[in-house]
Amino acid sequence: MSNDLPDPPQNRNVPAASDTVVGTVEQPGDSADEFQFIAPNDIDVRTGEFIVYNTTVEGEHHNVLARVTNTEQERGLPGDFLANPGVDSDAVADALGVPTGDVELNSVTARIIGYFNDDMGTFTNPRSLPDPGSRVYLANNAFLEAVLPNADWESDAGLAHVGWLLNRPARDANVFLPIDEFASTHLAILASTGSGKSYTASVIMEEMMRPSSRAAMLVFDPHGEYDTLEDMRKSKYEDVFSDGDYTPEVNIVQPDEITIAIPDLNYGDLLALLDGPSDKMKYILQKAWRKLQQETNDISAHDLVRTCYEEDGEQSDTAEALEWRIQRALGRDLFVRAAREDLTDLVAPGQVTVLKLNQLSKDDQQMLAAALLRKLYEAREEAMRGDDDRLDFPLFTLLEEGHRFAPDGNARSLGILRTILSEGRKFGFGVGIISQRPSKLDADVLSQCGTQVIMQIQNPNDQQAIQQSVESAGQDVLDELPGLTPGQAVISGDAMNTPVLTRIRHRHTEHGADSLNATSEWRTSWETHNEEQNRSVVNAYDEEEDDVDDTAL
Amino acid sequence: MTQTTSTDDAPVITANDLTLGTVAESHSQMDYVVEVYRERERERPPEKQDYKFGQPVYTTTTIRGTEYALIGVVYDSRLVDPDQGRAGPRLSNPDQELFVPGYVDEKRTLLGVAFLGYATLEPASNGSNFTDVSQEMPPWTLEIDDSIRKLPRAGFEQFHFPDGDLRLQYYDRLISTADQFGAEVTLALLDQLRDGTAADEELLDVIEQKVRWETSSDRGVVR
Repeated sequence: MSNDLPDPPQNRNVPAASDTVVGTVEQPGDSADEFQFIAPNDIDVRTGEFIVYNTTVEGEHHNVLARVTNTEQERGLPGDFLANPGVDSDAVADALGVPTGDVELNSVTARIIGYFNDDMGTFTNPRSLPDPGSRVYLANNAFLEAVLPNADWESDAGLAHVGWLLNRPARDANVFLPIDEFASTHLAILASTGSGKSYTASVIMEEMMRPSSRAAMLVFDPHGEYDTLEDMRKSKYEDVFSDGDYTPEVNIVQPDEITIAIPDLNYGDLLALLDGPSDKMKYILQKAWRKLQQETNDISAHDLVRTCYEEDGEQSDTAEALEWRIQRALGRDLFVRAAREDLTDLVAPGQVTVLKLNQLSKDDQQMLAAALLRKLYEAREEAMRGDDDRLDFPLFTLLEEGHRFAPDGNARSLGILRTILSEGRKFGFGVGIISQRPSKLDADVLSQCGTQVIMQIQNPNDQQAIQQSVESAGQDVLDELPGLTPGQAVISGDAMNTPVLTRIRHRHTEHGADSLNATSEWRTSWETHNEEQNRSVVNAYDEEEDDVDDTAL
Repeated sequence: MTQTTSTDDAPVITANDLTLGTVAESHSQMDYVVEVYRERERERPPEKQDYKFGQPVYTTTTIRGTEYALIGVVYDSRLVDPDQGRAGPRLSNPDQELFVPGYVDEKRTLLGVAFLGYATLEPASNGSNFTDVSQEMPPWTLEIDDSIRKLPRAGFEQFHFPDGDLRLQYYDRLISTADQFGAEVTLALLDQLRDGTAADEELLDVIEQKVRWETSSDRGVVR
């Protein structure tokens, strides 16, 4: 844990190239935007590193940024020298008078990103390759900090400090994620299990709750992993999260406190809850539901049953069948009669609400998400139209295990999520989807997430899903994915001007989703069980020795 | 390892070292032609085994008052007989060669000697020791008639183990100078290094493999 808080860069007027010369341009590469340069072995140019060269476009000098995509050895010790693993190749080289040490040369391939165009606020491809012989410099840390995030520096935009550039020494070059950008065009955090998805999400949440952003956030947490965000209110993190009167509110809603208001459901939700209703039942139910909704904002299961009888007569078999089904579906503590009026206890600026869904069934989780998101979305629509000012601030909702809520198939929550993802930007409603199975996510949902934080993914289906749905995930991004280790991520999409390999920073608060230590738990459990068994069984064989049946089975 | 340490007791070269012949011509900075002494020209004329293929040799020279030894190797030989083909009657018997036409017997053995490196000579009792062994190209030319002598074992070892580790830094120069016999002469030197020196066998194996493979592929034996 560290409390050091880097300052976001103030402007982009910083030199692009650092003093470190890494190589000399050799020739054009295989594709139109690639070139190769030669780097001596003692200079470490890793894949994903940012480099800079000078070029002239229409008479103007520009520093063009490029990304290293591949490194190959151009020259090294001959294979003959390595013939016997028992003999040190340097000894052979020394004996034959071949210089060793820093004689190896690397041929490095780099892909041009472009020079930074201040007017456009992004990179412009110069469409010309560097001249052979020109020098290649390592890009300046401060320059990268300023130009990689697609942020508007002039405005007072909130920036999330998510980590550092992976290829640079730790803490040398900060990576900032412009919150406005991903909060409006949505975020996807994709990684296989154990790669640090929820850790990364927590880092982003911490940043969004800092005084510079004070987000209004709602988290759907199916595994109860985000309890520890409460630590943000502790005094030891005061210098990180507090500013004057402001300290983030953290509202952890326990499973038994979670309710779904029956009036917040729609007819489709209701049908989904009921057990195989017949056509007639549907008809009666629809009439009853419409009537109740028009009359009141306070509907209980009993009201619904009563109205069904009213609609179809007291002796109706259909109403009776519906009664059984309605009681079974809605007669649980999860459902309450009163519509949720005050949404600000759920979402408010400077407040993160974590809904711990770990005791709800998957269907109930989807139902809850559908009802809540629909309600919030409608409130935002009304607020934007000026009809209602209950939610006159933008929202951001984070869905952990996103494939539960937006699976590739059917789910109650899928429809509203699709709507929010495709139209939510206009209403200030952002969604963050966290998932370990991009291939199991609805393709529309995945493709609508404008910013992606992608961590280690080895499954080819998942990689393919990313390639197909994520526009900015080029081949060079995909190539990185299997090789990343926990805590390393590629951040790409709308929020970044180019994909960036990032080392995710440490959380300020403790992490709540560590893996279980299976072996130690097994040992403890076994000892407990064993002790219990020994207490009741006193060596059965000793006592019954004479009675042992030797007959072959 | 029988690393030859330069002690006064055992000088690496002595005045008694057998002289093989004299420089007759050079083809390049490191490539000389040496005319072998014949019988009657020396009290102790060299015999065939003294100038065999791959025989290490040396010569000394003085530059600005400093004595140097230039160390080389026999990589080639040619036999010359201007009389060859004159099968006509002779005036003399074979044992009266002095009276054959031309007065002098012109049959000669010429050796190709490649100079591989040099060392500073330090006087020692009964001879000299090597100091500052270098396997770089010898910077000085020899003179016509300079004596070429057989390099004793101690000198051979000191030249190849200047600081205790095996050095064959002349290797590629030798290969290109000795041209068609480059690989063979290198292998001959490697053989001598195997005998009695503490050179790392495995290291020599790797180098030998490299030499053999390189020459085989150069000659098209292996492709």
